[in-house]
Amino acid sequence: MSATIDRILSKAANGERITFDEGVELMACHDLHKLGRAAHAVTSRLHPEPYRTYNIDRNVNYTNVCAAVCDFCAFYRKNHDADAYVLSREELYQKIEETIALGGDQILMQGGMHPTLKLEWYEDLLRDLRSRFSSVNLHAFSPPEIWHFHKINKLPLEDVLRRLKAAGLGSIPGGGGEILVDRVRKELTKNKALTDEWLEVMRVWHRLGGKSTCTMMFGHIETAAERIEHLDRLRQLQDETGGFTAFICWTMQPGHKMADAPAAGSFEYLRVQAISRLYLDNIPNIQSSWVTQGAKIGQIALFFGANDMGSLMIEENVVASAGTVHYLTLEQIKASIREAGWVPRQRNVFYELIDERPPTAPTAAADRVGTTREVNHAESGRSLPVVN
Amino acid sequence: MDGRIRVGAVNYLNTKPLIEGLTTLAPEIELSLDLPSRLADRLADGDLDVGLIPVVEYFRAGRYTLIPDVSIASRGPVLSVTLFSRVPWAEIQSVALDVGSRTSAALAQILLRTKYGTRPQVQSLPIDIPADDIATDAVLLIGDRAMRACLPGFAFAYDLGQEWTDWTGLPFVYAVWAVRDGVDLGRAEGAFARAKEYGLARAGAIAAREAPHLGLDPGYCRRYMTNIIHYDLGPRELAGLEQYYAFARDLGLAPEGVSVVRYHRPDLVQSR
Repeated sequence: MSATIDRILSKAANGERITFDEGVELMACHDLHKLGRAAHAVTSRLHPEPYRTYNIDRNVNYTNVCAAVCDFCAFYRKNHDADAYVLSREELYQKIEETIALGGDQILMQGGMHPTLKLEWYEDLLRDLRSRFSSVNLHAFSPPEIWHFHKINKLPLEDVLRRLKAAGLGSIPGGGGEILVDRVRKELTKNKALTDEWLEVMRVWHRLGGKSTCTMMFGHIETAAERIEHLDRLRQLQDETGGFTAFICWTMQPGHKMADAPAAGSFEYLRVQAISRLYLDNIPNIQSSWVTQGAKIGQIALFFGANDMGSLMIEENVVASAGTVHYLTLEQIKASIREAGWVPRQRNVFYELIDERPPTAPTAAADRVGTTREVNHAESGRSLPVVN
Repeated sequence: MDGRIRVGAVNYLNTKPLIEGLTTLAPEIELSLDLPSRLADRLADGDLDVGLIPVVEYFRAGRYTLIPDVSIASRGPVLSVTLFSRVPWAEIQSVALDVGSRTSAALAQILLRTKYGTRPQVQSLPIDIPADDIATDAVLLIGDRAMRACLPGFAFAYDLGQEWTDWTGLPFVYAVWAVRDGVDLGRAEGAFARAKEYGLARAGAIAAREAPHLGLDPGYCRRYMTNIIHYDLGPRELAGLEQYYAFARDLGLAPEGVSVVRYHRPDLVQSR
């Protein structure tokens, strides 16, 4: 067993693609250190740069009305529930203005699958926000929402996406992916895009020149092989389109309807993220999930395959309503990156660096090269922040 | 006594910050490294004066005192005390427990019986038996073994540090410096807390030195010591210790009537 795992890991670490069956073998391996080391080797090869990134955006849930009905979700409401809402334009403007004031460049706008709002409503919304906030990327509408627009408007998917793009849609978040295996999806959710539909939204969007992120939410009812099947579907689509900029995985947060589901903890999160880095050889970036894992594990995730600290979430509602959410300030995110031995850099969804004046110093790459905080700073000719 | 103070500790990555500077700070300390369960026996036999022993051994002896301010604890995930299972918690009917740490073995039983209400058959997993050969529903592994086990067929990996903190809201204390009754530490008394500060300040150097032997990334090793493991024994840790003792006692895993917080030289404990 161990020899097989070693062979698969060295293959992946050397940049060779691992097969589906090899992925399943890795998923059955709980050797956290071995998997982590191999994943870190891949990350170090793909990202030798002296920085690790983060972005600043705000997660705006424009409505909590949703027709999807997912077992794990504590956020959604029915249209006539007393606490159902659709945000007004004024509320949206205010949220975006606050985001810009905090240095943000993006709004992650997702809703429920609202049963009555028409495509024109979304186009108006995008156009309006686009014209008012031209510098802000509208990272919006997960594939299940877009599939839902396609169904209720009785319009071809491509038309829906073209129109949203023309109206100002900047990129698509990987939400609602959970596990892209229909057995799992059918058991967890009702009325929500199935695997091929989710992927088709991304495929068409990528063909139109769009970029998006992709995700995996695990630790519920899926098997180890189904996790690999999920990764495999993403890898295949990425081969075809190249449109995914980043992958993010997290464990399902128990505490609501699926309270009985076993909580996959940090050990499992780090293990699965490492395997994802090894399997997804064609997706350039992996974001750490400190929102669900907390700052300490979020930082350690940078040694288990992640090269990005994800987003300063100015607002988060969905994970929070399931009961578990961690908050970090921008300074804490930057400090986490710095403390781990890299320079923190702000990026956008396209992974372009967007900080006004990049920090000049490649911080003590102390830990990565195996030296210590007593690193010879004079050698680099700069005054470096002490990594501690 | 000839002035020597015989101190025993485990030689794991997570104990290094506590022992790194110990003999430099107190030259009268004679340090020996051993397995956790052996340390407890040697302390009981009078072969050691101070031992960094698993907390359940401290309860069982019931007559040791604590060095203040120092412990090995977690405040959430610990990554190295893991229950691997073929089935979810509530369905575990048989479990094999690593004999390497009786504290974690008792913690696993507390979680299984008190938190999840199961009554699994318990067997011990000897150090020399590979965990891969085990037929039970679940197996508890600690330390290197927990992080190095491949275990195909085990769909679940539960971090017991995280399970404890999610459940109780308290840190979990794994080991404490226990002093054998009647021992006078003299000037070495304060060395243990000072050694902790000394070791943590050198976590980077320790990580850089140890990582190659462990086959690990030094950056990860350092963060494991500084962010995952916590070395204080403050009010929250003591509350965690008391809570753990109460659960262990109720299940018959620790004797009745133990006064958990018995400081060695309470007059030296800093007020908080």
